Amino acid sequence: MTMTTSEKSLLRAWGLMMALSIALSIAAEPLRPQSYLLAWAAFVCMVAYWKARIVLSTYLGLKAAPGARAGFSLAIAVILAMILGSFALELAIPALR
Amino acid sequence: MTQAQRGSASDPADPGSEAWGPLSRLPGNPLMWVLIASELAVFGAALLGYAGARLRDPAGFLAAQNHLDRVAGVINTAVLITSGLFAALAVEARKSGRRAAARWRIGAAASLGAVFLLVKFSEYARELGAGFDIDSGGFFTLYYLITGFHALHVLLGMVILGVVARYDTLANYETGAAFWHMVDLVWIVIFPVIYLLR
Repeated sequence: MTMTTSEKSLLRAWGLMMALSIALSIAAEPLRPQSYLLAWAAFVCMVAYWKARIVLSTYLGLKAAPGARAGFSLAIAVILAMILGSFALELAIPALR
Repeated sequence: MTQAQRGSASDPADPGSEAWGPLSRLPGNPLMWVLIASELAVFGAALLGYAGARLRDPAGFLAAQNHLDRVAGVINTAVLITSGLFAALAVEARKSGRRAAARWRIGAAASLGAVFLLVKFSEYARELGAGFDIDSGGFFTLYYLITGFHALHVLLGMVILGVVARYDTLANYETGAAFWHMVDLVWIVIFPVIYLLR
């Protein structure tokens, strides 16, 4: 059975998301020393955002509706930025540690 | 196919109507997109609540997170991403009129949803067996609430995909797949925040 261009594009998106998920999980242990906590948190949030963008663009097909994709992307970015901000606060206020 | 392409009437009661404004340009029923936006807001608020609670007790959260099974979390991430692929492939098959292919693909997506739940509940069983229940501190309360609420959405998504397989119009495929991808999208944020950010 031959695959359509859209189906090939979906398979590529799946491969990229699988690779990102597995690589991030493998890296989770060695890359997480306390001294790099904020950098690690930023890296994890960026990868999560990247994967979310792939779902929005390719799986949900919002590539064809850039306004909606921008809106949903912004919502995800705000959530991740606030979570990252909580890690920055933790490091900035020693009493919290 | 977008709603705008499907119909041009201006009756908002008709999901194919252009009266839905920008939502008319999205795949599936416009009301599903309203639901997706509100679900994202709910999960977003829950995750921000989690981040706030973690700020008050980072050491306690770290100790609790060390008891999570990250391998199970990674497996479930792979399962949902693959399930999302099958749902999207089902829509593509339905678009080109391959109804049988669309049916087995949507069936595969729902079956992987069942695998997700199986892995999740076996994870819960291990954690409960080790003495970590919903009352075992702030982390576990939020962990069970957030992941449990998500698991409920997976279950609901499986029901929706079953309905789509039975009533297999393209609009239904697009609407059901959109809900399923929302479940996927939410897990993509939940997994790193709860399992990896420590």
